[in-house]
Amino acid sequence: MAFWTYNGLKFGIKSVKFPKENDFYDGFISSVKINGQKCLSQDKTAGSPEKSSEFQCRKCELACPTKAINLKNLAGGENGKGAPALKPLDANRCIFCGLCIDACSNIAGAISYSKDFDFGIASQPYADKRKAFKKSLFVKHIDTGSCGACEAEINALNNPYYNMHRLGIFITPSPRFADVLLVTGTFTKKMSDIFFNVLDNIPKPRYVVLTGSCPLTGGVFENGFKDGGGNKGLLFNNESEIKKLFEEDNVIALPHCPPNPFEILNVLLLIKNGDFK
Amino acid sequence: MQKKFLGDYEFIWGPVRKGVNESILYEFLSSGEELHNLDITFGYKKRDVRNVLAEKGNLYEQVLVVERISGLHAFSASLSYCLSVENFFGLADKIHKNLQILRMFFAEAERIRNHIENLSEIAESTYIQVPSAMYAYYAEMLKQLFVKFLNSRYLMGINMIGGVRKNLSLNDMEFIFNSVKSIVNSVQEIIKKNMETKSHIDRLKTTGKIDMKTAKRFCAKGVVAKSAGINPDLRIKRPYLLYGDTKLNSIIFNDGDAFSRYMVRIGEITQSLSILDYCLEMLKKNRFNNTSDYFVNMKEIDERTKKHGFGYAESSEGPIFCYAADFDGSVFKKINIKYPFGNNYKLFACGVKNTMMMDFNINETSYNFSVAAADK
Repeated sequence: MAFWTYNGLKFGIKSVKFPKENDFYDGFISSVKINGQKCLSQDKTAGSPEKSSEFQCRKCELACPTKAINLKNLAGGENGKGAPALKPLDANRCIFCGLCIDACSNIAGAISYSKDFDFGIASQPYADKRKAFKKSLFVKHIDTGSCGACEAEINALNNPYYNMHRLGIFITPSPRFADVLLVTGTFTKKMSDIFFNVLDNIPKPRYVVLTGSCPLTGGVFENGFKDGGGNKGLLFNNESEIKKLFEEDNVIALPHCPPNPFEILNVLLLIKNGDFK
Repeated sequence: MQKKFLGDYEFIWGPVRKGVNESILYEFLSSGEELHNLDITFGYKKRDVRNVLAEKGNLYEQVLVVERISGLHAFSASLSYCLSVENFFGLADKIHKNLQILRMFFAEAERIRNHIENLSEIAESTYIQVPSAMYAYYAEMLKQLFVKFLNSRYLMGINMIGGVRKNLSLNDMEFIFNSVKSIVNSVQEIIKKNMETKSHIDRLKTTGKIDMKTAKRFCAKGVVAKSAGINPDLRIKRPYLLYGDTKLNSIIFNDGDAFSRYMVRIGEITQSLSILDYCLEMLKKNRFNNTSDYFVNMKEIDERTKKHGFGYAESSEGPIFCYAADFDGSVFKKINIKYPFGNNYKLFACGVKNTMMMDFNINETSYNFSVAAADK
């Protein structure tokens, strides 16, 4: 084994400096953004969006397979009136297929991939805003019907590049020792009771991170099991148990399909450091 | 459940297991060290894929769903779907050779990534953490390479009906090939050192042994079949795309144990790199310029000539078959996709009998299952 110890040392440190520096790799994507100035959805000559009688261009909205784009919200955002405007692109639904970018590229080039961590992770109400954990963070994972890509991304956090252990974050086999429950998958009926059983065994304070589009909105599988309630995910689920979960627990939405390891790490670090506002 | 003897006990493992794993239920019957019986229960992850596909609005939306049945085999699955749809529309001969080469290129890149990830898991299951971490690092490098050029770490959103969606130039392809080559060379260095690690090799040898007869009885697929002396590789037996021109040799081992499966994966990594090299040479020879130059004009599609379409692709773990029928003008209402894992799980449950409980993890890892694909 001394042979491998030597080789390991020779291999050197390969970890990123994140979170000290945002040294993301080339091509890193964290979100999709719509530039309201470039967007041709409204008739800008009409003065204000309200006066514009109809949308001039809705190609991105029509191309989106998960109905994540709503250009009416772009008008609200540009107007800047009242409460914080809804975003034209609902990150909880976006699966990064890039069809909107393709649709817009030859027209206005208003949509592009972005590197910023701007996906509204604090969109849910929090029961506890204090720094809940003093030292290391233990994470339990539960798969409720995923494709395996989210699991691969969570597993990637253990590789030398992300190396989440250096930040005091560990995967635990037992819910009894867990601080965070990472949920992946469409939240199938068969996994529902098992999910609540696992959750009941996690001591409070605890966080539930809905990882990926599937547990949020059902992702591309939204139309499944229509007779049995559908693969709707958790955000728009009206079952009393799930409503109670959102009321009583700290639920965090981490969208995209699959979410990048940097995004997962960012959320876990925010929980660990008590930085959610 | 098998008959219990004095001292035998049953226990369950799952559906929520330790670490980061997919949900599946294992029921063991064991007398301590020896595992007498294993019952596997699926169904925890069913997403009603067939109806989801039928409800989609267009063919590309169906591609997006097919890719997400099993995220680790996204490219192979979407390729088999696209080939079946192209077969239905009579487009198979109209796809430009360069696009077929690109599809071969990415299918082999996906195979390399999956095999390297599995080597990492196998090394971890034998408790040698350093090579496991090194393999995982190189698998990560491959994913980062993919996202740089293709905007997806899992090769999602690349295939489309009639070709490849991403616009790539010859320079891009050359860069991708050189990067993959350098990663594979580094991985081969680790493999070489790993072969000298006795504790690693000894634990793999004779673990989870299956004979050819049993493998044939359960219609074993992919790596598992190749490790037991059967060659079901569709790239050789029934070549699709331009695999017929590559003159591939079968990578076959006869022992049927975890070590044979490990060796098949190592052999396939080298083989896939040589296919990537061939693809790049062909692109240069064909004066490939930009992907967008070769798109099939979908308006030229002939009227429906067939009742159904059929396509297949060899993924890293075995063949993925796709059958598409009932085209309603916008989507196929009936799509059946068959992954290799259903057969391999049955074989695994049989082959694991009377093996050591301690070796269960090594045995399971060497099969590299995707529960999502078996439980769609």
